[in-house]
Amino acid sequence: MDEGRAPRRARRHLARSEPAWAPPPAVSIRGLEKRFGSKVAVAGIDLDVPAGSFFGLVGPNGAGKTTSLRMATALLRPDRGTVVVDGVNVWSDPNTAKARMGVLPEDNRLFDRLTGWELLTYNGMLRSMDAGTVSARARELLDVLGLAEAAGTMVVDYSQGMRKKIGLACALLHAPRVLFLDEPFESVDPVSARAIRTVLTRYTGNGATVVFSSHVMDTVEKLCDHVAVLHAGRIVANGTTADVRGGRPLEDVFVELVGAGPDAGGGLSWLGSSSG
Amino acid sequence: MAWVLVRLKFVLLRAGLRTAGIQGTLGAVFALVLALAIGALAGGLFLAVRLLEGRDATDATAGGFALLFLVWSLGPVITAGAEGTLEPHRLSLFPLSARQLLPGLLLAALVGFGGVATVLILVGAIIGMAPASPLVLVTLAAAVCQLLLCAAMSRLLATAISGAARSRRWRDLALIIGPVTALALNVGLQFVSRSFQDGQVVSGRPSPVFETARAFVRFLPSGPAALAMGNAREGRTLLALISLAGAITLVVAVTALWGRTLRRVLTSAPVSGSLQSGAAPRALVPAWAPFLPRGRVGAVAAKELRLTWRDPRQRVAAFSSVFAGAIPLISLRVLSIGGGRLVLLAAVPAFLFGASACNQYGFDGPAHWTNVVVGGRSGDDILGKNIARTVVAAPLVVVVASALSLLAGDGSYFLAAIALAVAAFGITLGLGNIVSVVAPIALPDSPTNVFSSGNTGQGLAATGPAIGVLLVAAVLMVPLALPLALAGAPGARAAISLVAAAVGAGAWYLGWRSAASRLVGREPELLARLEKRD
Repeated sequence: MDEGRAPRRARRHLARSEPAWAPPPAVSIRGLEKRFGSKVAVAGIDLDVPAGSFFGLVGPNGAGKTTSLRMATALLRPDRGTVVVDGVNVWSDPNTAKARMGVLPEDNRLFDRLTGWELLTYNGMLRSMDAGTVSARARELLDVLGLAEAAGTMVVDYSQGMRKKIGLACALLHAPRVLFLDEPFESVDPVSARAIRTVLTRYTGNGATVVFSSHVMDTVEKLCDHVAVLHAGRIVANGTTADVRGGRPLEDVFVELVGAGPDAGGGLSWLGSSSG
Repeated sequence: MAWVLVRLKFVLLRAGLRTAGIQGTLGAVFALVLALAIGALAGGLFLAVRLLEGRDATDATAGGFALLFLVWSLGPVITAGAEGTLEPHRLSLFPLSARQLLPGLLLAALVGFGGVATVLILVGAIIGMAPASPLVLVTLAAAVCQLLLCAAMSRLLATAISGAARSRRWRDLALIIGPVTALALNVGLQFVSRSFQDGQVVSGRPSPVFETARAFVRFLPSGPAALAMGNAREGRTLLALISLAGAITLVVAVTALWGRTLRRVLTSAPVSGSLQSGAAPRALVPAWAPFLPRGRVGAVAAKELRLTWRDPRQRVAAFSSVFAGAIPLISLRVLSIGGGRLVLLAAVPAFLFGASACNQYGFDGPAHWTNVVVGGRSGDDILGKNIARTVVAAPLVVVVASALSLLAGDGSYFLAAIALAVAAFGITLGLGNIVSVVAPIALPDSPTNVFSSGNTGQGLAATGPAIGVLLVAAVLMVPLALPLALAGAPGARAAISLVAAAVGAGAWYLGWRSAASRLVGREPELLARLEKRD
């Protein structure tokens, strides 16, 4: 990756594509590529996420959503391309960029033999935050997310929903400008999902940006003001949710864009016919 | 089904070696050479049994089989984190009965370097004990029984301890079962050996203690197989067949018990620790460790200290390495010689504890993304891990050195022992830091095997560098330990102690700097290695 010249190229691109009065995008991705052996996971995507937006990244399994988000958050090195978050190139100045972003990965593997409280303190100390600030914010986040009672419980004993919520609390602790969430509503019960939605809505209300991936079109349709559809490592649709939908349900548009897949009606007549 | 599982183990080993890269290949070659050497040496000793007659031959075989049996039983505990087996919990959803599953898992447990060495040893025993009659079939069957018994007992203990290590009630007991048994075995062997020698010297005949010991080994679970071989060699057909039946019954019984234990572990919810819902949150930094630095280094050190006790895998690994170091210290033979110099052995636990730091990111596994996503200086994480390790090692060394000084009745070597421990810990930790960064391997959190390093041959990649560090560090320690042990004048000892401590500190610093500089800009690559699925 040409890290030295990449930011200038990205900025030139933005200067051409955005009107002079528009605020710079919170996230700007240019020519992002990643291969795993012979398999192309992300085939050179360009994407701008407007500042203060609630941005949904949708796509079928294997479309490259997680790989793209991991490259955007400096967890996975891209083969090519640039990512600029809040004006900072993620791969040429990772420490500054990381201070401005919060991340909740899909599998959300945590140090689960720490308690919820300890995990938050750990994250605060990793970022060299003041102990008093960490304590006050941790208490507030645990309250809002309904985890106050479980603050002294090891994360290994948390349910999936609680794990997502404590992961989200860790991602929000340092008040990042941009939040990347990979499938935040996966395996989450409706009550926890509502708590997460409430926090995220309040967060974007303060001018911050949320980028999240999801399979649940209904959630994306309700929450997101912008959406991009990723298919086979490429962006196949991108814009405001209303524009992409074109007056139709997002799920219909999505299925049309990525293809309906194999006909599930034929074959499989043997299913359910025996227990062997 | 058994053959399917054995093939599965081979496939997983091959795949594991492919993904483990050059370290895995080197580790595998090293482990194979080691297994062949041990197998050939011990098998050669069994061949020598041919020179003995009657009861002596049977008892020598029984003693050898007992030792083999105990090594298999305690192996997973002593070499915590280096074992690679088929993980039964991955097969638990298949509609397979225990009768279908267990024989395959048992045979699969033998696929590995332990199995290679054991087969070589047993070939030596067969040749050493085989009669020139059809009863040679009993000899062969008894050897197979011994092989299966070793594997079954190894699996039974590993599963039982893994289950117990996850429960609050049993975890402390589970921690000490293996190491204390190993310690007792060591002391017992020393005791029997001394009794034998003393008896020979005094009366020209073995002492009563030795006679008792040789009778005792016949009654261990490995005894019937040895007796079957002995009786077959003596031509006592009926007794040989009865002994063989006993050996077969034991294999079936231990395997069945293993099956029951496995079912219980797989269908019980693990109890993670003492901190339950509604408990008041504790600070991350323990109250007894206010000296930990603030910021990232302190965060990592505090996290490591918390997890060393709470994570069953780390708990068992730390405890085992400490006890492995303590075994030679408490050996009767060691305590009977050496005088004040004995205190220098306090460096042994420090040496082993430092050498166990060859895969410091392994226990973090994929959770290491938490640190990567924050950014910051890469060297801080290793420094935090090193500080936590030092916090555990320092009091241990002081306690061992003090205890040995008291036992030896000579405190003049106390400071020299501390200096030598600093050297041992610094050298091994410095090397361990480099290996941790160069060859990180994620250690899976298996519900049925806290000693597991994955079932894909990763154990080879994990064990190879660790043994390499042990050897290199041992060579580096010789020029420090030898002059310190030989120096008679206190002044010379003090000067050498200073040099030793400085070498230890310098070696650690170089290792830490080297590891930190290797990590700069390569955190995503480290994370990718730690996220490799087992």
